Amino acid sequence: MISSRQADVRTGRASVLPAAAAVALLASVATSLVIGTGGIGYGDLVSVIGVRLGLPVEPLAPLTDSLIWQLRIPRVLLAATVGAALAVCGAVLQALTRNALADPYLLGVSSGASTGAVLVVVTGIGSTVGVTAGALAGALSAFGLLLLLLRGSGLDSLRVVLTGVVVGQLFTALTSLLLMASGDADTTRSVTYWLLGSLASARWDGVILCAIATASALLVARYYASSLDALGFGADTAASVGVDVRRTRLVLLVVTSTLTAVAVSAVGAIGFVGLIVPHGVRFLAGPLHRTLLPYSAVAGAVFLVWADALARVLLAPQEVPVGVFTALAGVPLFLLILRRRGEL
Amino acid sequence: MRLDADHLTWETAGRRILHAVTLDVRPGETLGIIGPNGSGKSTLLRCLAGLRTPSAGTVRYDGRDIARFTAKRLAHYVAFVEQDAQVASELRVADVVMLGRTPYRSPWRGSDERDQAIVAEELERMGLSHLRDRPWRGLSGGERQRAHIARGLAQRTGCLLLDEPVNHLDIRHQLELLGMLASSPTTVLISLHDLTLAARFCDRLALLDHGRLVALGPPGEVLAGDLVRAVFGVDARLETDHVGHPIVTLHTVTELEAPSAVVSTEQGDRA
Amino acid sequence: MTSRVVAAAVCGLMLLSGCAAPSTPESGAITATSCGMSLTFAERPKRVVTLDQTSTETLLALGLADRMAGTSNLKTKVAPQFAADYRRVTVLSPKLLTAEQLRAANPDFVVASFAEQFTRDRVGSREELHELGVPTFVSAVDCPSGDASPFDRLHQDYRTLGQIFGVEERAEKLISDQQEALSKASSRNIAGEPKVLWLYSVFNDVPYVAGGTGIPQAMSDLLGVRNVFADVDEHWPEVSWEQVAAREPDVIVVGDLSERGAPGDSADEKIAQMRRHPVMAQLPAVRNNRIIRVSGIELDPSVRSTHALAQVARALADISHDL
Repeated sequence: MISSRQADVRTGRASVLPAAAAVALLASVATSLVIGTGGIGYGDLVSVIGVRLGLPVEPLAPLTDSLIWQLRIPRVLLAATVGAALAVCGAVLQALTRNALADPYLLGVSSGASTGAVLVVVTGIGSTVGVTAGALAGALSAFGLLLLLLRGSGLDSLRVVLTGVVVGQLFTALTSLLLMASGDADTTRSVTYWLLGSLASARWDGVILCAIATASALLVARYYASSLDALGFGADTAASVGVDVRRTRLVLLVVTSTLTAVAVSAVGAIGFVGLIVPHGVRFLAGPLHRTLLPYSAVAGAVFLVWADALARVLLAPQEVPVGVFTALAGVPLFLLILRRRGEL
Repeated sequence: MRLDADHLTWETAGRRILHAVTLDVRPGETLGIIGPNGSGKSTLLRCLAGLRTPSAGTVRYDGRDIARFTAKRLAHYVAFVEQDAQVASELRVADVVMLGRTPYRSPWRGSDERDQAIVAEELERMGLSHLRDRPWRGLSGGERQRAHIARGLAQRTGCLLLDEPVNHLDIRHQLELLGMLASSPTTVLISLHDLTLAARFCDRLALLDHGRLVALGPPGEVLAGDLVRAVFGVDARLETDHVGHPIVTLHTVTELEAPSAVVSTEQGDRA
Repeated sequence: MTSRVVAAAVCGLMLLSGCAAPSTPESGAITATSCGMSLTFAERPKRVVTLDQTSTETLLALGLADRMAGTSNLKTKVAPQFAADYRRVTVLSPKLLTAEQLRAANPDFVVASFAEQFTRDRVGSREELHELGVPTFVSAVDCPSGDASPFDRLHQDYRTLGQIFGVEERAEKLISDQQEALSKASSRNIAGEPKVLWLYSVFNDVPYVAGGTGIPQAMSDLLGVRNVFADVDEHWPEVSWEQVAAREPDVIVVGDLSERGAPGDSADEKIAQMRRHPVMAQLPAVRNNRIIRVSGIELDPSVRSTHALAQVARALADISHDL
């Protein structure tokens, strides 16, 4: 009896969830677009977009237009894509490492990104674009080192996690060394701000790069969805149902690390999204990766869009770095999820 | 499906776990693999299933060398059921059994009606239909073991390899499972600790000792000789119970070296 | 008419001295150069926004409160002489201004002391703003070119801003006042060549001191004293107490940042830390309390720096004769 009722709930959910997810995402983006400085309304949004579409609408003043088109829209869209990216990376890495606490920063990639960014800031060669490029280069170097250290291994979960921690520590130490060597309080401050994670520097270029990276990674991860389900039962069981375990692990490590690198270089390290969102989605949509991955992407997008909207207005006119805010919101949510699942 | 291994050797960390094992399993046969702990039973099964790449030697299914198989193609030939998968998965039982259909599904497509029918059939066969929507985490050890076997069966391969499949099962399920496997047309390799079950349900037994295959033949031959005493350090006697099933009685060597004690125990039992 | 003449005169002077000069071409548009970018104004700016305290105080010193659309990013209290004017201007944000807030304020000119305000994670790049028709100004002090002293660079700022806003006389008056303060300070009778440590702040027990490139170095040169960390090629290098002690400063100038309000920001706390430190406590400067307190913000280049300079000069004139 119980099981058939559960089955009904599941089928019910299965038909309602896609619509609910789409509505939640669209509503969140639409609401977030008008939250913040400057009293932006939907009429203004229509004008700004209408002008770009060549419609006969009255254009806004250049600065208001810039506020909406150059800042607000890319920022909300970047929040959505980065949120989706982090949640998908988290879901994939949790399955890949069979570790419920895995998140996109587990493998030392974000430490590498920090080192790259700090190097650019300290040597003073960079504009903001330089910092982003430096972060990407740093993240990819950290990942290259990780793969080098894992060369010849079967990429088994524990070894990947431990090696990732070691690589992360190495790059954290390098970052400290660079900061010490530069010894400039202003540099330290600006880097710290960046490290906390912030969407303040969002522009269209970052949105496009992140959107392409996120969409591609989601497709690849979705291709491996059944493999991820099987990997939950260990490498041997997965291999015996036809999963090429080594190739799956390698491809997904490369994809998640690259995506994390792109996300971190765009917005700094925003914590907790990759950790808590997949857990919450498992609770709502079940643990099969075929559904877990796309819903994690949507839930991550919604979560970060709201976190950033609140970060913009909570202490207005000051902005809370969104990384601080996701941690503040994430800790109680994580405890709640663990409780509901009876693990705490 | 015919399975044969030729001089199969496997080494890890400089230690040789399997020494040039050569064996041949006939289509439809049920082969029991016996041997003490550490004799290489699990490793042999994993090499045969293609989960470990042998250091030397070959494994062939119907004469085809598996070294050149992709993981997916191999999964069409053989299913492997692990001994003790202690994982905290949140999948439902039906989803776990559905994993057995992975090699037949395109990555983009969900399960079709045929997959659903096969899963339902294997759940029924393993007596798990009432648990199909239960999460894996809530199952008992025996239920998990049966679900794993159902997953292996759902793979519908010509060859099924099971590592200690009965160690969590209660006695009725042990007998039912082994009876079902023995009578199925599938080629089955199964590692077992219980020599009575091995003698009763297997067509032939392979006896492993320190990674070497020391005997391969019908249970009567393998269990009757001095080999069991040499390998296990116990004395085994193959007898027959009142309905004609084989039964293996075991005695430690010290018991046999002190015949008076054995006699007194046997007298006590009779009294 | 007169302003045109003065402008032309100033312009000539600037060209002679090799500096980029604001000019008023026939068309009526005003052009100027700031830190590598040329600025063009169709008319005098009326809605200027400032991005840091020193730029706010510069504009207030030029009497431009009525042209300001807003201020932001106050580090400590504004100087008392500017307080009344400051209250007339909207505070857009007490801390760093965001890109959205800046655009919402609809400025026609944006002024900052530090180039780092114009990054994408703050108000956006200067190029972005120029494309929107909003000229941006960065203080010459934060513009790495040539080897003019920070005081000369500040004076160059006042001239350029005076030209842009059409308040050249006020700019010249401000420059001559500042020059007078500089000469007054440099004429103080300081005995010998005392070794001075300029201590800005202490963070995690790590002292931040003046290196050879900041305004304390310019002050040291002007007063004829030796900055003990002159050899370090940074504004505010991070050093250790041991390094400080090894350089045996005769006098310590301590920046007071108590209005910033973080633990350890007040001069008293910094002095107490030195007295507790086993090596620092043995220094004659600490033992004999040869310590000069100034406002921390006045150790950053601004219109207020001459105030700290005067305090230090007066105190050094007293102390140096006891050394």
